[in-house]
Amino acid sequence: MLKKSLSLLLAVCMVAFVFAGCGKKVDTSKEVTLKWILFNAEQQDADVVEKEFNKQLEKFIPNTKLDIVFDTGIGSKWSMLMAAKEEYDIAWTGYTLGMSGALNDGTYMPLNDLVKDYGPAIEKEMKEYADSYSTGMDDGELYAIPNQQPILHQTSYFRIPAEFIEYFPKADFLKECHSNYKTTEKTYQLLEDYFSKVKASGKVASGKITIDPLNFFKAVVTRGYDFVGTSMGGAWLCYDVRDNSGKIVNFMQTDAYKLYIKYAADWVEKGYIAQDYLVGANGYKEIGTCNVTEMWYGLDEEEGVRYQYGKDGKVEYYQFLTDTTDNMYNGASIFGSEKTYTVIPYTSQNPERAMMLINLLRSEEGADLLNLMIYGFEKNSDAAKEYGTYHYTLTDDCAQGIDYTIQPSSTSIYGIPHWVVGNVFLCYRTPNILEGQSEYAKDFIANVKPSLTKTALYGFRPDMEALSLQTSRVSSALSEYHSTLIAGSLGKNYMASYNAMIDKMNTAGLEDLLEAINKQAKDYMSKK
Amino acid sequence: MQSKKFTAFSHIILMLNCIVVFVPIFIVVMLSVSNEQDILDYGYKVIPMHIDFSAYKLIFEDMTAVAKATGVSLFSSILSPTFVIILCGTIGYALSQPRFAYRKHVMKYILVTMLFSGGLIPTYIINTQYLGLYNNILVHAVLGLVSGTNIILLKTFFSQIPTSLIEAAEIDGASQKRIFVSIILPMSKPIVASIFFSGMLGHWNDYSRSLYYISDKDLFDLQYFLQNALQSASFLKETYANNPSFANDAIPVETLKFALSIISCLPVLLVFPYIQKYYSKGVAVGAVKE
Repeated sequence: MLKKSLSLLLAVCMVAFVFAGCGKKVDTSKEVTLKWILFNAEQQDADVVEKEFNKQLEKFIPNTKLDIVFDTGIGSKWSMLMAAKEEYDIAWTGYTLGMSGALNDGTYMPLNDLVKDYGPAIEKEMKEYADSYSTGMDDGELYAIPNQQPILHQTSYFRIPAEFIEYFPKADFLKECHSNYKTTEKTYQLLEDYFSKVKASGKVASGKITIDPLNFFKAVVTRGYDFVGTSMGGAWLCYDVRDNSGKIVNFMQTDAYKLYIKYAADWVEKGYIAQDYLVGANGYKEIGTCNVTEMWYGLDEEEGVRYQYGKDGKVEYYQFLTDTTDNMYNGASIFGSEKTYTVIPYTSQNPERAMMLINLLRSEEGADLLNLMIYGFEKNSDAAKEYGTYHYTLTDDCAQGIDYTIQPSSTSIYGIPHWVVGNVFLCYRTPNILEGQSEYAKDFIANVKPSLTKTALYGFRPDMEALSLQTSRVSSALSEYHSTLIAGSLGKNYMASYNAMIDKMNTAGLEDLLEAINKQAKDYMSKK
Repeated sequence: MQSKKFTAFSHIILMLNCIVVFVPIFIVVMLSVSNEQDILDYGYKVIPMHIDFSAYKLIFEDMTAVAKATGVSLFSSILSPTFVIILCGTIGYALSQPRFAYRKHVMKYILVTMLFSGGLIPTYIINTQYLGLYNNILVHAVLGLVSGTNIILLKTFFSQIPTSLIEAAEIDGASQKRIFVSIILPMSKPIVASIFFSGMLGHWNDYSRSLYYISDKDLFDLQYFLQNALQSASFLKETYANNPSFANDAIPVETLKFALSIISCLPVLLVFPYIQKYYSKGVAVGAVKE
């Protein structure tokens, strides 16, 4: 009996030891102040919110204080801060700084072990939002935790001012875009027809009209191609999303690029793109722009069309969606493509405590703290009475910040844009997250996104570091001409510059680079 | 007769010059008070179709913050050049004296600092981690006080002051400090004004100190504050553009650029006429060798 009891006890102990590492508790007897650098301007009541936050935090993580450093210049000085070994424990990171470069420089701390020991909520999110999290990982190691927003997919739209709607061939445009996964010549012809009608209408008295060719290129011209190694804006290594061979090519040598630069040059000649667009295009009336939207939800007044209202309640702009779910896809993976993340810098002296705090703010348990950090005090809260100030009112689950509706500015009393910190799905709904939008986003992530077409190179992330020298040489040859070509600034002589660009790219080692990256792609596909 | 013609011709040329300088400033002022929608619909007009102060309203929305930023810029633009004159002036004075035995060696050392600098990161580390200048108002006044160029300019000017004057003062019992303050500096007004004004202008227009060393909004200088205002207006406009669930707020980004130019230039434009005469003399130092 004694033997049996001892064996049982031993077995229990062994199991306990095996799981001892899970949910490891850090010694919190030592007082620690965590420094969190955020991409936001400091506001009037930041100090009192921080004071209240620290008071509340004591209940969850004893002896831990938070010191928020607000800095809108983080993008410009991240490398310097890290080189100077500034001791930050948590940091915002994202689109304003080169995340791949920061990763290669070793400024982000690897997080797998920390998540395993101190981040059960993060572990749960990693399963729930696997695709998003993969964009913060390198070689299976998590470095950057995506600040979950209701991001569904990236799709583009073409936007025109309402006053010109009578000239826009909306049915034909939508049909042409939605039935072709790439942008066709007919699409350009339809747009040209619209531009000419606007110009002829005389509605713009100065006659100075333009579209935004840079965003147009990014959002419309590149449709049907997935870019590898870097984000869409400056990228040129790509593959056709419906090409099962997954062959990577130079976008500048595709028919899509050549077709567009022909039209761009012509549109400048005809006065549809400002000649001086690259130096400001000041004083031009923008009759069309494009953008990439992360959320196309609940606003379609007609299928594929969103209305944008002015303060007087009248429609001010129309947005035309260029892709439907039929044309969307799950493609190659790019580090940092979810735009904003939370990281623990390598200079942190308290990474365990930092992970505990991030984990707390990403859990249901810490949702109130997250709300406090983002919105400040609610009007009727105890804190509002204690500090004699408040920062938002709550109607149902919708937080309305004082003196701002979309994003707080530096003149607001308090508020941090919700995309800067944490998981938006755990926050109060703000006026710019519509009712039902979060649920729609969650459903899209869980059900729609996995059903989208997976490209031949789905999940592929090339090792660009090994090719960095060649890439920078070719990019440098490209950058000399690319902007002027897509803005059409070179006019009729664009082909001479185009040929010069391709020659220089070849001389810089384009062929070798394509060969090397295609070899990586083949290896990846063969292992899939 | 020929002289009168020449004078008239000169006046015409000078008047044309004035117009060439004045017209762009006038246009910028007019554009800053134009209506944003008029600019987008009709392009830039010298005389606005509708007067609209929206851009200024946006900037002065938080008057206290503007006042603080202006205060920081004034603090920086006045204090820093004053320190520069004191430090570079005393070094330049010592180096201008033939009696100073090691002046050639010291000059070589100063020349080396003009050719090589520590670089941004080491400078940042020293300033923030050793001198405690992060989020410290003094960072606006004490960075880059001693520069080889200023020392050489001052030394060259001081060398032209007759040695007999200094000797006479010494015979009368004046100390070196007294000689420097009562004789050297008053006789060197052009170069002192020139260096002071260049430094003042440089500090007024520079926002790098706030960018690198300041995160406390109360310590931002005016240029950084204005740059943030433009950035945040552009960002808000873009956000509105991408959020059709909201009424599109008319954020006057076009006119804001011009209003910011006016606000940042105005103090310099007001001060320049009063020190211009010294400035023009000072910059000519060293141009003539006799």
